[in-house]
Amino acid sequence: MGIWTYFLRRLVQVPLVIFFVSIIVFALMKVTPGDPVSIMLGPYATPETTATLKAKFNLDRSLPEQYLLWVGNLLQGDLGASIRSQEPVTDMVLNRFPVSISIALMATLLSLLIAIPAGVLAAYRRNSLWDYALMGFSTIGLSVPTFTLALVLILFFALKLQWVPIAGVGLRTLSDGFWPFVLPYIIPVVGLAVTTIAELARIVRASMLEVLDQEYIRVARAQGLGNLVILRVHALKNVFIPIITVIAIIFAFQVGNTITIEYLFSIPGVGSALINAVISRDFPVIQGLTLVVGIFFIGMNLLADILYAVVDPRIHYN
Amino acid sequence: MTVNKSPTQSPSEEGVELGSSHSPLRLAAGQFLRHRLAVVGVVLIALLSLSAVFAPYLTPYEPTKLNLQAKLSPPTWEFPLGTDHFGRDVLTRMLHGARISLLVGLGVVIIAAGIGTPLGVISGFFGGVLDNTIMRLMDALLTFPPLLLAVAIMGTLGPDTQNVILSVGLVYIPVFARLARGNTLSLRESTYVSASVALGAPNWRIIVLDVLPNIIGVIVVLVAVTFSKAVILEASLSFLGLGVQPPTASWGRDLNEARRYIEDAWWLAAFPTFMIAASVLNMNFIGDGLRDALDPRANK
Repeated sequence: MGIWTYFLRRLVQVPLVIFFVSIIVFALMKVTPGDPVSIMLGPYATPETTATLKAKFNLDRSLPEQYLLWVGNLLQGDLGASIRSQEPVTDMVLNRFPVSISIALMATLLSLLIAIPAGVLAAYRRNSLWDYALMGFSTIGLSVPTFTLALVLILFFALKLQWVPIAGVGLRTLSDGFWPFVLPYIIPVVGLAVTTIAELARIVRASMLEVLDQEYIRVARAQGLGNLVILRVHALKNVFIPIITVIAIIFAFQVGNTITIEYLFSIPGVGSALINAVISRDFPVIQGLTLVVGIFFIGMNLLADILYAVVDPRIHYN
Repeated sequence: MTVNKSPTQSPSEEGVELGSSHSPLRLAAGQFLRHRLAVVGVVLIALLSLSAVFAPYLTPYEPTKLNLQAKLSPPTWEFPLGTDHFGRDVLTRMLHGARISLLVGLGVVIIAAGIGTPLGVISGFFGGVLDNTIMRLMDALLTFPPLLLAVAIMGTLGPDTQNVILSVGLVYIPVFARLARGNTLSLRESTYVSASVALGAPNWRIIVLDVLPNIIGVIVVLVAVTFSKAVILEASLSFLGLGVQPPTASWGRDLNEARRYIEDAWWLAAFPTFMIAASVLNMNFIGDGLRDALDPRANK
C-alpha cells in the first residue's frame, strides 16, 4: 500500500472518531446527577424560568433528538452560549484558543531546544556524570506535577528575585514594548516545558543510544572517522526520526497541560475558561470547550501519524 | 539476565526446564528484588501507607480543627512541619492528605483495571462488531488529555472526593482496555489457546484459564503506573479547586491555599510539594521494578 492510500484511509477514519468523541461529550452532559437546569439556576429557580431554560436547551425532547439538534447547531458553527455571561462559546474558543496554543507552542520549542542537545550529549557520553545528572533530573521532572514546579519558579524568580512578573499573559500586546510583552510568558512557559524536557530528553537519549549501536556507526568508526563527524553526518539524521514524530504529541500534551498553568497565572486561555465553567457549572461551555479540544487532539494525532509516515519509510501501513 | 520468566511462555516448557522451586512468581520476585530503587520504593510507600492508616494516632492534633493562636507557626518541636493560616498542624494534614491520595489511587486502579481489563479481553477475544464499537469508544476517550477529561467529568459530577475517584478512574479505563486487548489478540494466536479450542473448551474457560493468567503481569505493571498518575491527577484537580473540598486535607488543595503565603510561610508549600513528588517518584520506582520483573518485552 502506498503512502497516499495510507493518508486517505487515515483521513476517512477522522469523521468516525469525531462522531465517537461527540457522543462522549454529549453523554458527559447527560450523566449529570440531578437536573442540570436546577443545578444551573441554583436555589432561585421558578417553574417558569426552569421551563424556559429547558426549552432553550431542548431538554424537553428525547435524547436522540437532543443529540441531532446539538450536532446540527455545531455544523453551523454554533457551539451554544454561556448560561452565566451569555457569551457564545464559539467566540470564547476564538478568543482563548490562540492564547493557549501560543503558550503550548513556546513550551514545545523550548523543550526541543533543551532536550535534544541534552539527550544527545547524555547518550554520547554514556554513564558520565552528565548522563546521570540528566537522567536524575528527568526522573524527578516526570514525578513532579507542572503546577508545583511553577510555584517554585514563582517563589524564586518572581517573588524573591523579582526578575519577571507573575501575571500579565494576554493582557499586553507587542505595542507595549518587547520586554513587557515577553516577560510574563517566561515562568508559565518554563514551568510547562519542564515535564516535556524530562520526557523528551529520555526519548532522545534512548534513540541516540540505539543509533550509536548500529553497524554503520561501527563501520564509520572503524574507518577512522572522528566522533564529531560520526555524530553530525551519520547519527543525528536517524535520531531525528522519532523526535519529529513525537513533536505533534508533545505539543498536544502541552495544550492539555496548560490548564493548571493558566489557572495559576490567570492566563485567559481555554483551560482557565474550562475551569471557570466547571466551577460555575456552566454546562454549554464545558460541553463546547471539551468538544473543540477533543477535535483539536484528533487533528494532532492525525498530524503525528502523517509525520511518522513521511519521515520513516520503514513504516508498515496497516 | 538470561533466564526468561516471560509469562507468555507456554507453561509446559517452563515446567520441564525450571522445576517447581523456580515458579514464574518466584523468578519475578527475584528480578524485582534486584531492582534496588524499586525495593526502596516499596519500603517507603509501605511506610506512607502505614502512617496514613494510623494518622489519627501519630500526632496529637486533628487535621481540620482550628487553633488560631498558633497560626502560621514555622516548624518547631511542637509543630515539626509548622502550622497553616488556621493554626492546623501541617504534619497532621500531610498524613491525612496521604489517606486521600492513596485512597484515590486505590479507587482509580480498581475502577480502571476492573472495568478496562475485561472490556479489552472481551474485545480482543471475540473481535468483530463488539470489538470495533468498544475500541472506537475507548479511542475517543483516549483522544483527550487525562487532566482535561477529568476536569470536564468533574464539571458534570460536581467537586467531591468520591467523584475524583470516578472521573480519574474513567479516564484510565481505555488505557487498560487497550493493553488487555492487544495482549489478548496475540495470545489468541498462541498454540495452547488453539489447543484449548481444539479440545472443545468453552470460551469462558479459555479466557479465565489461558488468557487472564498470561496478561496479569502487564496489567500489574500498568496498575503501578496508573496509581502514581492518579495521585498526580488528584493533586491537580484539588489544586484547581475541583477535587477534594476543604476542610478535608489534600496535598493539592493545601498547596493551592499555600499560594497566598508562599513568601512568608515556605513550609506551607514545601511539604505538600515534597509529599506529592516523593510519593510519585517512589511509585514510579516500583513501577520500573515491576516492569523489569513482569513485562517480557521490557527486558533490556
